[in-house]
Amino acid sequence: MVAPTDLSEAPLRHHRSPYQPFVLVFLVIFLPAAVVTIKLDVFHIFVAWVLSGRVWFLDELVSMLLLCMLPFMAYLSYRLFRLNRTLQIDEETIRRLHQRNESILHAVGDGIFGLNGAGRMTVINASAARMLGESPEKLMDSHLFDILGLPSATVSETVGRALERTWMDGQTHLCAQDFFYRMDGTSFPVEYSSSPLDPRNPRAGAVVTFRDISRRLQIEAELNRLAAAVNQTEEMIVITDAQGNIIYVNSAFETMTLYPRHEVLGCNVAHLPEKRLMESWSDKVSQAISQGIPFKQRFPAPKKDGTLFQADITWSAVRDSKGRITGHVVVGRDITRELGLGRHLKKSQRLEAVGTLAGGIAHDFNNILTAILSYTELTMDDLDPKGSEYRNLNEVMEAANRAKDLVKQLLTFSRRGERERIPLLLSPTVKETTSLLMAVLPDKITLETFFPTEEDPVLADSSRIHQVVMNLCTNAAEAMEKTGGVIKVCLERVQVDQTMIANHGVLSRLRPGLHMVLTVQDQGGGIDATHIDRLFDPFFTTKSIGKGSGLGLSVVHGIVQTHEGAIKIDSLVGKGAIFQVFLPSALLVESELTRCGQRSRS
Amino acid sequence: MTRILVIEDERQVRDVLKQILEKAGYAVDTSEDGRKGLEHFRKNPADMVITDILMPDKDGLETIEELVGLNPGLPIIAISGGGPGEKAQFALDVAKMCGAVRVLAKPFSRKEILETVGDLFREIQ
Repeated sequence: MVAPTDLSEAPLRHHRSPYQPFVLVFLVIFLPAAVVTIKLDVFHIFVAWVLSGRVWFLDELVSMLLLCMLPFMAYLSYRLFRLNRTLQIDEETIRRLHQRNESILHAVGDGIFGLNGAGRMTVINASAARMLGESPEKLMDSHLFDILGLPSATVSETVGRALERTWMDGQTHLCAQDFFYRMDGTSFPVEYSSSPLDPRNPRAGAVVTFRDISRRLQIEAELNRLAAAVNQTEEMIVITDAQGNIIYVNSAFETMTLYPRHEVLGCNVAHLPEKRLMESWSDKVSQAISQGIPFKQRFPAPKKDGTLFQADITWSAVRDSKGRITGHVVVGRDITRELGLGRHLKKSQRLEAVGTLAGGIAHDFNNILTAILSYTELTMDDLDPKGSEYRNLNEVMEAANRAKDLVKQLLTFSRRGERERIPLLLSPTVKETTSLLMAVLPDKITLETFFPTEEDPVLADSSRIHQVVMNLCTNAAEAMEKTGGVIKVCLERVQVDQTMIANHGVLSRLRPGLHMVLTVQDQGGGIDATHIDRLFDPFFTTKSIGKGSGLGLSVVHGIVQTHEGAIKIDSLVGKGAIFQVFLPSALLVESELTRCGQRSRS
Repeated sequence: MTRILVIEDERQVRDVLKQILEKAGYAVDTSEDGRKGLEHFRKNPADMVITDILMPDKDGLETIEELVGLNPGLPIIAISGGGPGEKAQFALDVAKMCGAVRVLAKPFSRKEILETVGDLFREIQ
């Protein structure tokens, strides 16, 4: 292995011309010497001829020729010298190039090794040696099969692998994932490419470039696990870029919105909610996008089929290490069902609340007083405070204010006068009320009563129970006004269990145990399923104007609520309706109280 | 101009509220029950809604819930005349649970209603 040289060194340059001194010697010494020698020789021949009459022509000629050859010989020497220098320079260049290539080879992070025609390593860089766990010297001459973890007998197993294919077709081949083996038998995952040394002769050898992908596979596995978790969570997850354009939605989003992923990718999240909510939504979204302000929002979101679902979302900005917003993540869940349950509870509270207002004079009285006081105030604005009209209206104001105080006192008094619930057998009240009703019902409507079981007392206010029976029976009679029929009133003892409570949402207020159930069944036209939900709303009525206020069932609902009971309605259009009032047995209430008492004492 | 929608089934109360609020400089729309009030709000959104609770067709509590659904953060004042021998405040408490920001028991004076409206507008600004 050659030690790496400094790669920052300047590129190779030509040296100063080495021929100049020789040319100088040639021009300064040999050329004048040759000229002088030739002149001397010519003079010497002339003198010899004059003095002796003999020309030593041949000797002198040879001498002259030799002298004349001197420049040529000098030139030849110069050529030889030049050639030698050129060879020296080329050798230097090659050495430096080799050094540089070696440096590059060993500096590369990827592992590189060369194989000869026999499949043995001839070159190996530092990274490859490090990854293969041995020094380059030890690895040198090791066989391809050792790297691939194959006994030499199973050559066929290399078929289809990139290295083998290069061996066969002389092409460069890539392998996304394979395993290389170290000398100690351990392996590590690699990604590699193999290229032939000579494409025309694939068997001449190959160069393999590889990298250890253990860390990448580990990160990929972590990312896959994270992606699977995000994708499979029950919560809807939307990831956007910094501008709010959707770049990812998970499966829950598709399930909730019915929009397939490909239809929303690229859309701006500001356009998600329903149009009428767009303005307030867009404001929040634009603030969140520009300033990264997180927010929570509950809104009706549209599904692809046009229906809505109630979404509860949390919007957060995603920031990089420098705090710059790189995207946003919206996590949401469908709370329609929860709200449905919530609405049931809220609805019962709502009905109870509105029921307390219905049917009393205080509400009407206060409305009247509001009108009197406010109109008087408005009129007094336009009058001269010193005039008699103003004084008279002031008296009206005073009187109205006295009335206002009086209503307050009456309400306080009536609250104090509320009858307490006492353990009560319901059958006498039911019998008394039905007897009264029978007297007033039209001939074509009959009323039958049933008391099939023994009876438990109920904590009740008999006048309220009277009102419940009266209102339910009146309602039943009105349902059969045209057709006539039988109203069946049944009072029985029923054991309410968890299953019954779980199966009927309206019974969710009840505790398991004995209950007295008052059933009123009619043979009227039944109740449309769409009406059942609104049946206890004050003012709700399917009767024509003037036939009923619609407050009757609302009052029943209010009374049953205060008696800690529940109402169950079963009805089919054309088949009549069954109203069942569940009231907890006083024994059940007593046992609850005793248990509570024991707990508090202990 | 600030627009207030008054939903009240009692004609006189509705009318007198309109006069009081208009005199104080507000633009006032009125509806006689919850359903009509919601229809009106969908077409002409108001900056504030004052609604009665006990109304035929669609009561005030349901109306408040739907208004909040339509426009989360809408300032809503619930008004009511109280009940017979029951907790007079109960309906108004439930109104708050439904989404009303303020409640006011009838009968109220002009000063009370204008103060409530003014305070609420100042709060949301």
